[in-house]
Amino acid sequence: MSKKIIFESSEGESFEVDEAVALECQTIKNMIEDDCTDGGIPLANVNSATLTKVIDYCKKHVEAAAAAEANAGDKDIYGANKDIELKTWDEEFVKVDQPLLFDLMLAANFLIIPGLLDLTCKTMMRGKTVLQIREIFHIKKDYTDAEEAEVRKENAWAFE
Amino acid sequence: MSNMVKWSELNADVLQSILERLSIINYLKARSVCKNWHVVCKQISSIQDKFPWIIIFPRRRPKSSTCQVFNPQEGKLYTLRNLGNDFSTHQCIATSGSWLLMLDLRSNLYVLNVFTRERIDLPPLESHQGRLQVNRLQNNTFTFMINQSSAPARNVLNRTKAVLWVDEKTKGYLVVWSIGLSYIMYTKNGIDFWREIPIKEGPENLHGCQDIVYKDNNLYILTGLNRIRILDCSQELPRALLDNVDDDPFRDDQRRRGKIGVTVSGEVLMVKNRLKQVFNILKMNSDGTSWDEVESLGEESWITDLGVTVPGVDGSRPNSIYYRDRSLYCGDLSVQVLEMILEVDKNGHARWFIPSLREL
Repeated sequence: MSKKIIFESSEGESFEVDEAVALECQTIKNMIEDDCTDGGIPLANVNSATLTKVIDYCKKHVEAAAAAEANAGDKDIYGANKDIELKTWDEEFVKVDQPLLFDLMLAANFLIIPGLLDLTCKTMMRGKTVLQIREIFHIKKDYTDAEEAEVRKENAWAFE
Repeated sequence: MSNMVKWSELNADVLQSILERLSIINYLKARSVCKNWHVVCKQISSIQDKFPWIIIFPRRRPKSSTCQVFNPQEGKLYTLRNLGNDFSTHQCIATSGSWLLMLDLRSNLYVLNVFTRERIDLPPLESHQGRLQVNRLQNNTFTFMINQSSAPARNVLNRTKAVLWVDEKTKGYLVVWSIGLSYIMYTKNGIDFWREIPIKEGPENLHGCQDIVYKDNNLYILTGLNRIRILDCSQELPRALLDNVDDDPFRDDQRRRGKIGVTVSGEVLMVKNRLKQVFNILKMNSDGTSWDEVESLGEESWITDLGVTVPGVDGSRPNSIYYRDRSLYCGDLSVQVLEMILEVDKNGHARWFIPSLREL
């Protein structure tokens, strides 16, 4: 029977997970090592919807790592192609709307889950133009046209 | 964490961890989104793509100062301009990040950053005090002379091998150049001349240099006798590492012209120079006594133009070889088929490189 860790979302909802899953988060790992997880871990800045996704991600990656280890004997010593299925899963995982993707990224940053942070950051800007980035992320352009042209000029080739 | 949080209010640490993960193209776009993003970008000292790109050099004539870079991820071609009036007449013999080691028509070497156009001029070959002599002739051509035997430079230069290493932050550099397979010399920041690396001393004659690779202060030389010689270049003078193996693993084997590579963990790989559909990659065992066939590179991929493997990252092609003869190829070891990524005509010249950017 593995040890359980309890997370509490910003709405006060409790989520029980295996310790192995919680250990995917570096922040939680540190707390477990310092033995200060009794009575649950309140995550005041992670809402339930986001936390559900984060736990899904950690579970999947723990399972994939365990499966890879269990199969190690059957494969060649380098474990070729073991991650293709996981990569496909990751790609599906981040097919969510921008606000949720944004929350996932902040949660990954706060909980220190490097894989998830990489994944969300990468997905965030993929294939978008500067105009689209401003629009989607509600960023006000505070450059004058001349200033913007100046910044672009430094690496004009990338904007052709 | 509510959706009301605006991107423009994101704290700088989080923003930085997002921006430094971007590909070079997205990073450059991010710089022009707003002032705050630009400020945060400026704090990221350097950024390097995970994937190799292709740099396509112009034909020699008509003279041109541009080249093109192709990002296979996007399938997009970009044009880089103002690289110097005679750029097209020069030959690129190595890269390090976005830095190119260029050889001009007068056989001077220089280092050029294709994105920022920063240039480092290297010492002239005449500065070298050694067995090699350079005789410049009236008509702008020259000959090399080693131990009394002379060769026209153009014959020798077709068989040149070089490595370049540039530290993006300090701009410290090292250049190693092998001329005509039999003579290796180097220069680095802080010295203003070329120094020979003796390859024919000691009891055995190593018979030249088929290929050279530089990684983590070590210089790996594949000698003419298919031996690997490793030199530690972290000190003032290169020093042969003690574990160099004298035994020739191919004593009874056919002489093979090879390319070598070094993996992330420092293992030495070799492949035949002319790769066909089936690639036969060999790896030196830890004793350096035999070469074993490699079935998989795991998550890594080997970029033969750079002589090293790069670690697998999300979305990258694992277990692959990025290869060039004239055209450029990529092949997955598990399927053993080379896919042509870019066809280069017989007057053209292109190579794989991994673009990097440093904030000035």
